[in-house]
Amino acid sequence: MTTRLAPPPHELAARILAPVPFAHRMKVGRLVPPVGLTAGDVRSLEELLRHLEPDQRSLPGVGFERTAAWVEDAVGDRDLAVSVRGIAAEAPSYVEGCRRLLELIAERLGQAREVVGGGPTREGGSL
Amino acid sequence: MALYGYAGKILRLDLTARKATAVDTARYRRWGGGHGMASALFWDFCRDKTIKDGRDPANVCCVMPGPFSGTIVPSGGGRCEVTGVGVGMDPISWYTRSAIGGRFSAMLKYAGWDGVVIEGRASEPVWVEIQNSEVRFRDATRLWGLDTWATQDEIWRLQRRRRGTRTGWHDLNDRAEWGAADQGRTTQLSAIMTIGAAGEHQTAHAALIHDAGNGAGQGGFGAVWGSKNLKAISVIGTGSIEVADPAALLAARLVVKEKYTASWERPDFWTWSRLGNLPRPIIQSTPPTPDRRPQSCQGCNNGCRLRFSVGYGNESACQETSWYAPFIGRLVKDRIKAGEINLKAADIVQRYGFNSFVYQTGLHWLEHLVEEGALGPGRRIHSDLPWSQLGTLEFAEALTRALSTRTDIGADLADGWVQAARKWGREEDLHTGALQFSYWGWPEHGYDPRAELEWGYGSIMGDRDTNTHCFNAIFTSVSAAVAYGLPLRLEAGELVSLVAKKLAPYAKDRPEVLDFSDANMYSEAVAQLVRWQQHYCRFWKNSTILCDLKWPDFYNTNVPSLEGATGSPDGGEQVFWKAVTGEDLSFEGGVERGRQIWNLDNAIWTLQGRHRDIVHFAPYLYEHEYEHGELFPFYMWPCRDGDGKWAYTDLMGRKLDRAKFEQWKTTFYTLEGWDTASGWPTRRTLEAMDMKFVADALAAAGRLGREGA
Ligand code: SF4
Repeated sequence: MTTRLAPPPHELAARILAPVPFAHRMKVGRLVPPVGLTAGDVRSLEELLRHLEPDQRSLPGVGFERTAAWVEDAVGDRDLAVSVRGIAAEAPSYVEGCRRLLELIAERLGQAREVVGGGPTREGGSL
Repeated sequence: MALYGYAGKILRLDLTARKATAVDTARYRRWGGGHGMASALFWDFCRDKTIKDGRDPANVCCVMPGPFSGTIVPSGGGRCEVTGVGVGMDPISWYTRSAIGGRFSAMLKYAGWDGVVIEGRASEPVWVEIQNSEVRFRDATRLWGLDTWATQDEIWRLQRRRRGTRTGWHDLNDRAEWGAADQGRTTQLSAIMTIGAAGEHQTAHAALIHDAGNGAGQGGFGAVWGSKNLKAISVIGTGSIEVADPAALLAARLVVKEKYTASWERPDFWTWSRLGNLPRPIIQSTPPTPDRRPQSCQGCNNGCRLRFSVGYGNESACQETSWYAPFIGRLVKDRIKAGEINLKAADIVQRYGFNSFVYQTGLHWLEHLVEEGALGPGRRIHSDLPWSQLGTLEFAEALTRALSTRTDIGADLADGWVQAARKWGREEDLHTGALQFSYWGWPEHGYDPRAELEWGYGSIMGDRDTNTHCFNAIFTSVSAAVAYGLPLRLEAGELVSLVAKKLAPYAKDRPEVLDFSDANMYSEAVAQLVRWQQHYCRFWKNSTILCDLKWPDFYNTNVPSLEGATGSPDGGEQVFWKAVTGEDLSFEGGVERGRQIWNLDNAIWTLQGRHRDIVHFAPYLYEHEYEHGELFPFYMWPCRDGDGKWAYTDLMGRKLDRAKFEQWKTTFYTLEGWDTASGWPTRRTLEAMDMKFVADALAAAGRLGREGA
């Protein structure tokens, strides 16, 4: 995917790579027949990326508008939020939307890592 | 008269006196087998039906195969029903059920037994060894403390040492009753059902485990066995089950394979059917290696498990292979490693004999408490567990060990999660939804009652999370097709008509029973659907016994007419019933038997203390909407619009209305012929079903429903 976003400034890049506090986590789910819809949450874009990675057994559950709002409010990346809304508007199907979202998030994380100098990512839970 | 499909006798174990006796199966024939027979046996042998905790020594636990067990009925040969008063429910642990797969039920039948009734309490740990007709109580002191796999290994080792040969043959000839001497020899291993630490410590989340990955988790039956000092039952049999019409049985099995099941030559991986899918492993992570082979319960026509060359995750399926997944990603980036931890976490719960289902929503709640600062070292809810390591394999084991052995927070959770919430001053979490234990103290399953009504209503009118997948393939198939943007295999109107064709007698050709729209969600029609599900399941699914993952088969895109096998003249449930038992029972006749069993169950709940006033969901379901896009963007289901036109519609974004649900309960009780003021069965209803003995017992206890109330 071609990057449509300008690289984030340093401070935003750090936020993109950091987990948000537990209170600002985004609830997500997964459709796993025959268990049904199982709950989960993500606390960083890195975790969202992993949540969206396709597997043969299940479908990730995210709401695009909820994701855009979370990216804007909790992560603080307005440009990324606009792109997420663009995906929601344009994707021909939900699964294709997830695939595009995955690429977009991967790209944004790559940009952020470059900006902060390729240092180790802060990720994982805020426990 | 030959009792085709049955072994002819039921094993009654009095653990207190260490006495084994045989009960004549014919006495219980009207109840079919499995759940029906178990409820009737409980009714007869449980001397105090007011008990509210399954660990009470008066509790009677039945392990019951059905007439189909040990036969080639598709997805019907290897399931087994477990019943008794459960553990850890709220406010009362009801008489309840669970089911377990594998080969135990078949082996029990081959040994000459239609079921096991477990009563009393042994003074010391015992295990019970069944070899054909011979039954022995064995000292389990040395098994106590072993995990479920080690227990089975040790029993197999003891059995090989005692009378095996170096080639692994078991020679039961001196005990054989089956005619020719060679029929007393077998290369099979005994089928063993056992408890682990969770059961020994009598915790609410204790399961019964058989082989590597079969479990009876819901209900807390592991705790029931633990309370009875029963570590394991081992059975080996060298007999067989005589069926009434072997040719008809084989023909019907072949019809299922050739007509209803997707073709291997031209595989359709998007089949809309329950019975007719190609073998589909339901492990919830990518298999760790291509070196694997399928595994199934005995007689399944399209198994759902796997065994791997890597040696972990064997036989586990469904929820136990997903309970830890949401947490692993927090710490582990590598997908291969994450998959390994996920399946090894499945192994952990199997070994501890732990019902991982409580983790489904419960572990999110515990994490929430940790993050809020309420739980942890030195916190209000003290815990020394290494919570910062949530997501690692070590933590999965540490947590499961604590909860299995009543240590750390396991001491409070052992008697029920909702009870622990109250003890910790966290009742509010049942209002906010931080603790999603929706019905009777059990977790929400994944089919939210605010959307999928038959699941939710069926659970609350029953005894626990129903875990009955009759209808929810509609949600998963339609939602997946919409998600991928694929063409729908069946339009909404077509689908509901096909399903309604099968809903005899109450809802036959009444597609409106499937309309879960806001306008119809508290209707008489939905009440009829819930009744049908309860009655169908109590007999056809839980008593005969058929696998919940495969039956009923309402619609089937492998068949030109699109009609599924259920109730059909060539592959329907009643066809298998007649071939196995010889009895000419109609499909509707089986549903009617299910109604009788359901009434018997309700009579037991009534004696235990049920009243309509306590039949309600956890508060969050009335107080909060099922939020759009939180778990998934939509919950698709066939609904009618204002003009009566059917369309797949999203059911998210609503909550339950307490007053309207109360009205719906009245409708449901009226249709069942129960007292609408109390929910108790009435004499007229019971006597019309030839169940006067139940009416008399309820009257004697002062708990018979009033007529016309
Ligand atoms: S589908 Fe799975 S659980 Fe059901 S009978 Fe087959 S193997 Fe057993």
